[in-house]
Amino acid sequence: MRARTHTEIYRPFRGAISASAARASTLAWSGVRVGFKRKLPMLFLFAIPLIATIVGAFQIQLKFDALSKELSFITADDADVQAKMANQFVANGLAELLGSVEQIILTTLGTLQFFVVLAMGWYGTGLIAEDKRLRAHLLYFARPITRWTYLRGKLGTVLFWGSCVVVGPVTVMCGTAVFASPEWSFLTDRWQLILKLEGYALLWVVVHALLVLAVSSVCRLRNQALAGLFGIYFLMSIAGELLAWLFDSANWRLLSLVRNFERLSEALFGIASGEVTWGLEASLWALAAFCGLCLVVLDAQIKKMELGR
Amino acid sequence: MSAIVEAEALGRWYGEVVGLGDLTVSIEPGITGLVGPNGAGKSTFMKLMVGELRPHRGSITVLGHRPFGSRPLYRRLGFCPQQDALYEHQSGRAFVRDIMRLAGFPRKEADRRAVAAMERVGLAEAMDRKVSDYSKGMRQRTRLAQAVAHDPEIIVADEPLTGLDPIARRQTLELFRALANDGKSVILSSHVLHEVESLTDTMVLIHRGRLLAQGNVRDVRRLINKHPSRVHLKARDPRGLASRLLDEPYVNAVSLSGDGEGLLVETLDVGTFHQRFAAVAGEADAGVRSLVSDDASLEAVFDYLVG
Amino acid sequence: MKSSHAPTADGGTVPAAPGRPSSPAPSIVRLRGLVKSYGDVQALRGVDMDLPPGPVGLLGPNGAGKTTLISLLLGLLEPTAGEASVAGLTPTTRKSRVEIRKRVGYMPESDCLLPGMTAVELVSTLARLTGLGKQDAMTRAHEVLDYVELEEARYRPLDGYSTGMKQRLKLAQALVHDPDLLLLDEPTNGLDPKGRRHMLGLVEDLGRNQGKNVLLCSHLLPDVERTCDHVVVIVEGRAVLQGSIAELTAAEATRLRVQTDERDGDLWRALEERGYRCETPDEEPAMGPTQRGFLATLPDGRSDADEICAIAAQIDAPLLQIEPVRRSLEQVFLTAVDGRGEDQR
Repeated sequence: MRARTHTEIYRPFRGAISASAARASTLAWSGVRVGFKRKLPMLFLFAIPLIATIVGAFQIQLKFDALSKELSFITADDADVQAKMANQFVANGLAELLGSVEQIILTTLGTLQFFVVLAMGWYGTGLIAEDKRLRAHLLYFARPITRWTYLRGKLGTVLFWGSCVVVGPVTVMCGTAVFASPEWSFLTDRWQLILKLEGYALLWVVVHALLVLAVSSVCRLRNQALAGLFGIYFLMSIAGELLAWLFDSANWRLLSLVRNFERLSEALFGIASGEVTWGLEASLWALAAFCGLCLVVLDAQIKKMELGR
Repeated sequence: MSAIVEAEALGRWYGEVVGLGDLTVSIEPGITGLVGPNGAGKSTFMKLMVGELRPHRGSITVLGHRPFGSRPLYRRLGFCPQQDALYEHQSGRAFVRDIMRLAGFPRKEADRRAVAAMERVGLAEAMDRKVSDYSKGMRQRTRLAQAVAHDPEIIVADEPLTGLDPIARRQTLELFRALANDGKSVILSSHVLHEVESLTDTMVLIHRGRLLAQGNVRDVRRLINKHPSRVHLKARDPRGLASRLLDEPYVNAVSLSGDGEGLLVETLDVGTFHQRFAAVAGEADAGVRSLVSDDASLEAVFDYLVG
Repeated sequence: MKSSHAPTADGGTVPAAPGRPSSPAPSIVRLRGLVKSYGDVQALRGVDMDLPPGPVGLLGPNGAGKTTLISLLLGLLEPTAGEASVAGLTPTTRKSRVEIRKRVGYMPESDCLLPGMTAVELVSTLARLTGLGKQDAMTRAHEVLDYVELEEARYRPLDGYSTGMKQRLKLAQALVHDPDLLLLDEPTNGLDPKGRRHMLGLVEDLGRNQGKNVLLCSHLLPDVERTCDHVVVIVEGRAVLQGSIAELTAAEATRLRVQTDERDGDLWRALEERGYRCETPDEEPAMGPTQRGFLATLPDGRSDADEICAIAAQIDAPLLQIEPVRRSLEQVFLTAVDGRGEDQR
């Protein structure tokens, strides 16, 4: 063996640098990891959605249990006509039951609404505001990433937390229904419903994530942003109700995010609250305009950040 | 000369964190540089000096007063803190004026003093702009302005040069020199030892909440026996000079540098070296070009003592 | 002022430093008449600059356009007019501006560090964002953290880091993709003397031994003097002076600074009797009591201080210092800034 020393303290890098599209997920994941380090708020924020999910799943389980008991009771009687009747009865019951499953899930989502905003706000409002306060964006934009990558990264982090409190519970409850339903009937008969529920939940999260980030990008302090988020969230609803009352036209409620999602769920799941008078398109336009506004704000703010201000 | 600041076994804690352990020191009039590593207790000592904190043990007197809650002392003392806390919505002039109003000057006089002080720190043009538009250096100088506006006898300045550009640094150093020429005393802390040294020979070195050294930098250097003093020489004939110097009893070692004209002398008795060198070099005919004490600077002393 | 260049009144060309032959290798940064304006405000008004290899100091008063220049070199801004080439790329298209950042490392002045992360996490994440593979990013993160001597602390959250550790971490993240050009903005900010020495040692090593092109922005001119070979002075959006520090601060041949103890006056008189011209160094504002002493101009025919030594020996005055008068970088800088200011008037 030939004697050699390797006392150099700085080693040059010989590997390759390649800009992969997955870099946004690196940024998103690093945001998530920072979030995981704050354990106590996680307990507070996720305990209630968790409990609600468990309760919802339990309710669904109970309903199916009750049904299968009736089923066994009837089939024990070995009469042909009775069996037919029973089958009819079971089918009716099942249809009714499957309908009420979505009711349970939507109700659970409705009660969680506030916590979703709170959880996403708690983890999301700091993402851009803290970067701005500490000027951490200088480190990110000194890398070969575009503003779009940065935005996707931040959005990814918020979506993760949002999914934990919205998409997660929906998935768990749908799963419970699938396993509890006789012969996977929930999956086979109602797979469109599952897709609709998941899609609805995802849209919920995306719209709120954009709001959270937009608010975060105009603030310098996280607490400011958190307050601003709730301010905007409630102000929109209050202003909608107030204007609807003042001008005696329910259409003003289009201003409220909550109302628009109500309209959407009405169209998707046919559960009417009776307070929405406008068409589905109007709500979709309202949501699109809202998202567009958030993106405009984000783009302007991130542009400023890229320039190092 | 009587001391302006006298601390006796002074200590201050923040909970279990030690701010200042056990400091006994007396500071005389003139400019004094307060130096030490981060966390040594410089800021705590300054806050105790200006009465922002109450000592937990020992005692401190400034101009014969106990600083904590002593209103008569506050009139005679100006403090430029390190924290960047100003009222953002005000102009710099209004900020200093309000401080002067608090110090008890009538409105007109307060404004006159505010303007004079802002001019003195080089913010004459910017003084009517809002503080929120100021750069870091301008904010720093606004803090300095409020410290000197009431014409105090002692100015205590904690890192007054941080964030300043070279021009503002020079202006601020000149301001301190002018204050000292007016008979004021300045106690300032800084990490940029070179600048402290350009202001004053007198330093107080704090380390781990205790006094590590005080006095004239060269004198302190001579007290450090662990490291022989190093003197750099340049000459036309360095070898000749080297052999001549090796005959001197106070020279410990001489080494030649690679460039063919430099040599490094190590001596444990640098006083005698300086005293005798003129005679040695005058006779040696070695063509001496320069003689520089390599490690008599504040920076070298700091390194030797703090490590 | 011998080696600096009086800028032309129209803010035109500043010739490259004399004595530096046009090197065959293209310099990492080459700017010609670079202009950047924000609306009506011109932040850069025609900068000509060739960055020599090795450590270079970038000096300028606040608001001179240094920050804008750094943003341009990082490919964050598009030049309004003029030519620019950074690491062989022209920052005129979005794509090339992003590409530039693979070759440039940046250490910002501000704190920048998000609490909650650990040093390893931060550096490896940033490496991944630059485009390093997963294994590469981890290996490299540890290598640069070793280089800046951030030991076990690298696994702890950044919240408890001292200023010195934060600054070194910021240097590490700038190095993680092994860039050709390093932009260091006030790396010694807030550091105590020991931390400053460490940081300057790293900067010096990178520039002189590791062959990095280092652009060091600092308000502390002694730091620049210690670590850099060249200097560029930006004043009011123009590079008014660039050249080698050794040349700009070259020692004078016949003037010496002489210092004894309390007997400066005696030696002064004795020297004047022998034909020396003596003066007080009052033109040097930064000189304080430590560098007391006076300036003595050697009479014709003398090139060394032997006679001064002999005279000092006669009057029995100790010799504390004899040193050829040398312009400090601060003086060079202030002259450049003043010259610019007068030009404007």
